[in-house]
Amino acid sequence: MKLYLRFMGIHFRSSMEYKASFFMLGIATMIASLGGLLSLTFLFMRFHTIAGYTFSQVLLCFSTIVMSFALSEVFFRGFDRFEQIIRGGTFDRMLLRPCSLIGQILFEKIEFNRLSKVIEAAVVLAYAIPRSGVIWTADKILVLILMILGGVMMFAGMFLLFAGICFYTLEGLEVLNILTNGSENFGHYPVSVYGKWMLRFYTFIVPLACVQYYPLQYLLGRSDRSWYGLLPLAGFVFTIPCYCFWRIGLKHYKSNGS
Amino acid sequence: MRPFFSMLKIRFINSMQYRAAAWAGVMTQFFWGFMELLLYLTLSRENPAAFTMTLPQLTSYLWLRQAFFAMFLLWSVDNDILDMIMNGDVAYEVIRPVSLYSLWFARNLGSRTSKVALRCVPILLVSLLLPKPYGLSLPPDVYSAVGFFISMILGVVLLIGMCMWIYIMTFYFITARGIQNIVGTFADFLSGSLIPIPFMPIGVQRVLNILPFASTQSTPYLIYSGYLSGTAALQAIGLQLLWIVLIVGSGILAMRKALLRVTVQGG
Repeated sequence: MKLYLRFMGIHFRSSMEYKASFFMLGIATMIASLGGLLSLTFLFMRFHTIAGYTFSQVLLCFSTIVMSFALSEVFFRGFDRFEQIIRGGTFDRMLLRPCSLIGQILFEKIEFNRLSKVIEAAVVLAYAIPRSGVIWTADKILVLILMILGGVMMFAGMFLLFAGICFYTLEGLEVLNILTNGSENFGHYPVSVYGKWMLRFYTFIVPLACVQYYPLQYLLGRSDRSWYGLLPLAGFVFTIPCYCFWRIGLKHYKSNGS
Repeated sequence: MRPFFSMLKIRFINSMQYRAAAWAGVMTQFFWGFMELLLYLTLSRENPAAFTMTLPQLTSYLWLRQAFFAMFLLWSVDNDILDMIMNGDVAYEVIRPVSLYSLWFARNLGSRTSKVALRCVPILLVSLLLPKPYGLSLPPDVYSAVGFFISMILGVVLLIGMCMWIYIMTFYFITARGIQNIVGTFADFLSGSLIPIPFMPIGVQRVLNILPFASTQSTPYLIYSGYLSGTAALQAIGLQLLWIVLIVGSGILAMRKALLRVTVQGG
């Protein structure tokens, strides 16, 4: 842990060396995700509600998922770029070191410019919290935090899964971006908006609805089942099979020889 | 004219090599389009009065956009060209006895059409076969079909004209990656690629309809679906022509000027 903090410090200082480009990239990331917010706003200006949700309620959903994704991009980016680590031979070097592998991969890359997206999401969240019509009690605040953390873990699990696939293919599969970027993009709205089948898909195959739709039901008091509030934990559970898969991939790993 | 055709052909063959990437693209586009369709279906059921396009018009718009996605990505510029400008290899290009503007224009057109040629056929076929509320419908009449065809060509020419401006700016700024990202996102939004322009607030629509971005992809799709027809369609095509003259014309002039003052970095 101490080591991780040190690496974080190093990454932070190294990105601060190029301040202009750091802030430029930060702003660019922010603007890029602003497009989603803008289209959401415009759609609401025309339609007022979507599947019975008001603007601020959907914003609650939007901000938590954007924040989760951005946070997972800051800290778990190393796995997203895993193909480069494997192909460049960096991974072979990592195997030799007496440190935890996952830790080393996490140290590889920490992208602080994604924090601008976290800030954007926080602003939206701050706007949505008082207006969403939720009566905020201690347990509901806890659920909200759990939603964000569960989301981070879900995306981390996906990154881990892709990294595991890289052991076999030696290169990343673009198609899988449907899962990560797709979950972020479609997670802007409560998943039920896409119909029953998609809700099932995003409950049992990808746990997006568990960190987003079900706890939202609890927050808004739309459902009596209070265990809905605990479902974001599925995000944590999701990482277990992903981790197992990664381990299996690791056993099969043969260096690519470079 | 012949060098441009061969340039087109080279780029075409070059991109055709990446078939796996094309399949990945098809899958992604298809899933993306389908999810968005589901969202709009919910919206139309909930508030049909606010739904400014008819449902078949919207589905056609969405599927066409997914099919020709790679054609209209403003920010997917040719990185080789940017590198050439940055590292000075552009000098070799200038020596060639053809106009640089048309050479790069052809190069861009070639790589874009080849990308789309692989991707659009499966998406169009599947979406035509999908059942009623989900699928792509045929244009309502012959005029829409012809209008779509003409307006599509104009849209592509205009888009590449804009893309050329990114290269020209690189001559002055050397690195344009950051700006390129920001402009790209705005262009996505302004061209109606995130949500169709008819769904935006009226005031925003008025502005966007005049800006050149809407003339790239929004206009042809709206003509195809029959949302724009008759004089409105003709006006939109006229506007496309006007923007092409302005943007391509100014691009050619600016390129000539940029080449006069080009300093080759580090020879």
